[in-house]
Amino acid sequence: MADPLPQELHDRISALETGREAGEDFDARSWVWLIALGVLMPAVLLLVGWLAA
Amino acid sequence: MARSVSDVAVAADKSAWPLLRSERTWGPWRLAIALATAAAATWCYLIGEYVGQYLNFFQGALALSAGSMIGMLLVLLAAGPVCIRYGIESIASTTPQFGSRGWVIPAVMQLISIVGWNSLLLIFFAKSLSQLLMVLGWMPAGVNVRNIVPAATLLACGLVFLVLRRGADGVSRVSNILVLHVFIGLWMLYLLVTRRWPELMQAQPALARPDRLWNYTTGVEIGISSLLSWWAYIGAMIRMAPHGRTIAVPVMLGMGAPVPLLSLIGIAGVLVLKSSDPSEWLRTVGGPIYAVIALTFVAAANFGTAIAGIYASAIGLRNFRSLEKRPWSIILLLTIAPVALVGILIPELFFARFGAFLAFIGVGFAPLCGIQIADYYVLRRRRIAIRGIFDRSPTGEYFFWAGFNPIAIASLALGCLVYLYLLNPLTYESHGPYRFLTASLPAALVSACIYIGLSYLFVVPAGRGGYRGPA
Repeated sequence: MADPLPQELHDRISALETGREAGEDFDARSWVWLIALGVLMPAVLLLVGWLAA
Repeated sequence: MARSVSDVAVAADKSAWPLLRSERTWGPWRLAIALATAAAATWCYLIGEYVGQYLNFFQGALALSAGSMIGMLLVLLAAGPVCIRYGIESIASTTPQFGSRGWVIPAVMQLISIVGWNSLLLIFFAKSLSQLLMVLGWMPAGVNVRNIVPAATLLACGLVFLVLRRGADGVSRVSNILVLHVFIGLWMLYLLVTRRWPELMQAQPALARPDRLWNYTTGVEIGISSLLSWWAYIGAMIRMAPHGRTIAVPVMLGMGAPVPLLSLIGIAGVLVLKSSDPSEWLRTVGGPIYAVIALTFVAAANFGTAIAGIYASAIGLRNFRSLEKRPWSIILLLTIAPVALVGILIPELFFARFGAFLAFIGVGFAPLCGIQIADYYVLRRRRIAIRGIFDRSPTGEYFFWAGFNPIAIASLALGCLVYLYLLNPLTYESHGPYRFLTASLPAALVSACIYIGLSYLFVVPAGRGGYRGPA
């Protein structure tokens, strides 16, 4: 049988499971930035680079 | 005696255990500075050099920037959400896909990639330092650069050890100083562009093929695959920040933008002066004083990246239960030792041979990102059991079969094969739809689709992997 979780790790996980100590996922504003910088901007750059050649 | 909050935070950032919100103290600026310092290193010139062999300055700049931002987005979507929600690093974030023992596979990829790259960077650092001593006339008589490199590598390893004794705080403090080198890099680019503009506009790439689309796609692919390597680093850094909403812009601009920006130095250098290394061509452009600035810049850049890399690698090692409770100094020594040995014993051999191996290791990051994105957003619908990530018992959520998820391993292997079929990363020989699609994007997509399909067919019906349980 595997070792049980160390007490400190167990406490950390319990705190995270309550949601109190957990961080937050991307919100709507983050998604806007992600799509703007990771999808739209590359698309525009690629188009400009191709047309300018 | 009770430990203060700051003591606990310092200890926690040296472990792979999840960080609590109160321990995650990096704001957007601090994160962006640390990421920018980590991203900017000698590899930027090498990346620029590769692109400049196929594309002119304008097209190369745009293709590389586009590819870099796409690569950065893939990495952030893959490892980001779980790392930022639970304060864990990249390796732990792969447990829900690869299993409570299978995470060893990404861990080995991370270790080889980071240790390999950091060996190269610290050897570059040592060479820059040696050349700097020579330019300044401080090199002892009768000693040549080849003899200085091992000693300088050892010195660099010692400095990295001292800085990282403070954990993430050491990374952040050094980054606050070394981030200046990004601006020196931009100044070097300004110098080259303003003084050699007519030549730069007329320069033709040396290895450009008759197929314009192939050249353009290759520029994009180099950007994507280069940034995908950040997967290994990103978790250890972003877990220090508490909110997903505050990391999107710092990561995309702090880590995604410096690489293409500084790679312009390499593109311009190889097109105009046939050398991507600014410490070589700045002497031509501006004389010995500029050479000293360039060499200082190169040394600082590589040092900053090596610190971030060795920190990420050391945190990754903490996932092994046998190393979980070892003193931080021991973990650092274990991480730094291979780098030091390479730099001292076989620097030239490593330079000549290991680059090829690293190129093949890099191939694995695109499928890995595809699998993680598919798992988190499609299969699990963002539900992750943090206890399952650390519970390695047979009753654990992510135990799968004997601790391994064969579907993830097969998807990773098939994704690598797709990549290698589309593009040989060493010879740049390509097949099939590479010229339309790149190699990284199809490899990520194929891995994701295979992973989703086979998981629905085999894993979910078998009740393995926690896909049915509450999270």
